[in-house]
Amino acid sequence: MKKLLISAIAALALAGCTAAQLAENGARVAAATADAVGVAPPASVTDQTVLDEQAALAAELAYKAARLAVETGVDAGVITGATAARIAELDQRAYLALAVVRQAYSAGNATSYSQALTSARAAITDLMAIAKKES
Amino acid sequence: MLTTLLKLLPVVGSIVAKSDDFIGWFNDAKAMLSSQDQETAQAALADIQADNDEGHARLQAKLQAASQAG
Repeated sequence: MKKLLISAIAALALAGCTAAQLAENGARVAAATADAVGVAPPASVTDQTVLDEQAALAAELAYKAARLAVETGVDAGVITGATAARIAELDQRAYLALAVVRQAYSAGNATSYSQALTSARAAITDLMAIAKKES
Repeated sequence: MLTTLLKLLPVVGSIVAKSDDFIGWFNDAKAMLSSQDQETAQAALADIQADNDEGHARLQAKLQAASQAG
């Protein structure tokens, strides 16, 4: 059951990462998002702003899913020793990548924000991959 | 974003009753990603950032302990 839970969280975390990636595409995704929740697309400036928040949210949610998966494995006693140390490194890397996303979001620089999201997505995916493998 | 999550509901259908953490996470994800109000989204972002800060610290402590135990 623990493995099943971790696999499900992994799938959803990766979905969150994909959402974050899609959010980088601006207006096209704004329209798709609005359609998904059944509302008319808002003004373009607002679209991008809200999508910035949603992309950041997606990254934070993906990290949360990954760390919950790892924590489940640790609590179950299946992540120990050198593996735990390696995962600690990957978790730290993912968390630092998330910190860069937060900084870029605060700075409001679209280019650095996009790059930070890409890096965070990769780091979180790595964390999730090892969590799945070891749990 | 929301539809992507909702499409995955059948996958987790048999699991949700087993994990309060997962249920909470999924509900949070739905609520946060469906918001079209910037203030709401910003508040949600602040909340999950604080949650991840706390969760990261807790996980690092557990991983350090687990690495010693192995």
